[in-house]
Amino acid sequence: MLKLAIAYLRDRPLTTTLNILLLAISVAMLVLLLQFGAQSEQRFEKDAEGVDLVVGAKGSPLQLILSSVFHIDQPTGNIPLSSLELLRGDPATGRVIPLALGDNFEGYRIVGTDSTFLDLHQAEMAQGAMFEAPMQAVMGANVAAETGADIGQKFIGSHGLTEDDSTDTGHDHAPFETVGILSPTGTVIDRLILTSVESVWDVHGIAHDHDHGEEGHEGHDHDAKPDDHGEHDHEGHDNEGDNHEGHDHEDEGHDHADEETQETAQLQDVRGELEPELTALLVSYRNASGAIRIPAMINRQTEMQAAVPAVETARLLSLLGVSLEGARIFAWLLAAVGGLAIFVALFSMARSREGDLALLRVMGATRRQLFGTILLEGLVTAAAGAVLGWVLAHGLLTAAKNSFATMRDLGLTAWQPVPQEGLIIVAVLIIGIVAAIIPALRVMRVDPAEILSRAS
Amino acid sequence: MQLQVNAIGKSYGAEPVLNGVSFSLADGEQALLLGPSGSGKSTLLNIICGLQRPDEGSVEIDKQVIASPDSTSKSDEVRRTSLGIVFQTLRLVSALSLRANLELAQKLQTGRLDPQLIDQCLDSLGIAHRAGARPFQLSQGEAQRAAIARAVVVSPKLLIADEPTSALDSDNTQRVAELLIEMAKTVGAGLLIATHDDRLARFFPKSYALDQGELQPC
Repeated sequence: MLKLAIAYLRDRPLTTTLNILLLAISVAMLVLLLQFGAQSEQRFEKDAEGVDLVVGAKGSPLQLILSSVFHIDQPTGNIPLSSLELLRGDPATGRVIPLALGDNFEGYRIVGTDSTFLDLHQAEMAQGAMFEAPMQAVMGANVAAETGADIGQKFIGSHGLTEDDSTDTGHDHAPFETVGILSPTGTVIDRLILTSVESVWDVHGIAHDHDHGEEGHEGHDHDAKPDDHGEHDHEGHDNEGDNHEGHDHEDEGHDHADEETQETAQLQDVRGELEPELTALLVSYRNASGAIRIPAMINRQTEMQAAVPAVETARLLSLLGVSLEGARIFAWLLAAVGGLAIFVALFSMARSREGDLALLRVMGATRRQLFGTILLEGLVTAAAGAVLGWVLAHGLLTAAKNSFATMRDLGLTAWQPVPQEGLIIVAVLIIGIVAAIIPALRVMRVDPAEILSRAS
Repeated sequence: MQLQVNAIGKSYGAEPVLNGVSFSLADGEQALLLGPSGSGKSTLLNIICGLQRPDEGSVEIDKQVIASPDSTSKSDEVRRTSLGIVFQTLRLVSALSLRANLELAQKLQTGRLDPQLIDQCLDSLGIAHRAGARPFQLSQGEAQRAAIARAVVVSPKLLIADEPTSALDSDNTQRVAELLIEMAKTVGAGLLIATHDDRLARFFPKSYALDQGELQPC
């Protein structure tokens, strides 16, 4: 009977294909929405774990969280280096992690930070060691896998936070050396390249003292660097993805145009030397009083803003949830239309196939067998649509991940089925069966004698 | 196989169609059931084939009741495994190839598959080269032979044909009659043909005429 059901489906290829496609599209949409919702939520929860507060430049708090915790959006601006000491000196704070953003390598963000960032994400070294000297970098697991980076290899960062942002201004005067590769953590750190904050400043020619941070900079000869970079114009250089026109090192091998250098020097004369800055601080509280006092203090008494990841993430998920819910309703409507299309196809077929059905009855097919054949047609159509839709959804996720940097930054995993996908498939199979029940009941009532006498 | 039709009566409302019809066929015997349209031939065949129940009387094959006013599922099974039926117009399932039709008939009626018998029937009927064709791809003659093949591959005890030559000219009528007789002999089945075409009478040693619900030997 299954063979017969499939033969009947193949007998009307256009209708069958359209019905399968309708269901496949709805299943693909539902699976995509499910994957997007589930993985985003999981990702947000995991990445924000251990971060009670983010301090950054004034602007959108959501943007600050997205850029500093999830590394998706552009930063809101820079904050003074002194803010790090201010917060580290506060008795209510536990861990205060500095972040300095601005460059990328092949679309992966280069993050200036210190070893506490690894502690935050419970990251461990898979190969090599933690960066210590300037221009040393540690690759996240995904970055290393995707770029094929190995210990000892050098790479040159590009200005901007994504490949799309990257200008032609590769920092070829200041190559990084890969000294370590992290084990996979399933968090955002897998997709980041870590280096010291000082290295980020060095790349951008920002003069700085050696003893501001906790990283050992013993081997870092800064006597020459500030001089080298002292002529820079930092007007456009704010570590957050602006173009890099002010970034014209004078040291050998730097190929910026002379006129640009002159322009930079003139601007610098006007504005003075750029102070070392940070992009954001990731803060965890030592005690509950910090949660009340520190955000208020930052927001009221400084030029910075404090944003709470839990609040902003909840807001984001709420906003996303409304959109996802709308799309989900649409997808279920599409599935219902698919079911309706199966119903219409089988119902009209039941009449046009009366002769066949009468013949089958004469040959000994029972009413139950005929009923089962029609149900099987609905079920096979729905199953084909469900499987095709499922494959389509995961295929699209793979393609999107490979094609769009934002999708990659979101850290979505393409082939990571969740149990709810099984429920979607079961629901679509039920739709197929329900759509076939009425036509199947109609078929059961076929009177072969009447059909045969009518035919002859 | 012995077919015994005992005093079959059937009415549609107040109008009687069959009135105490009785006849018998011995093992391997061949007979013709003649009658004009509306004489009750199709109703009688439908009752023998189990598509309709008689109001009274019974039909037996080898002393097993296959049709009566209170037919049971057991009688359905006896009938299904005993009869091969050739219908005038409804010959093959449209979605299946000729071979798949024969396989389906074998499976449904006998519960097993006998590819060798299928090949033999297709060869005997000269349509082996059309085994993969779908019903709409067959000519009228091929379709007629395909219908005979479908009835024969189930190794019936009795082959029944309803108006098998109604749309055929004299030459084809003779050819189909000869094929049915030959195939019935090949599988050792009896043969009962219902027709209004009295040209077939010369092929059969035994004929019955059905008129106004009454059956008379001719």
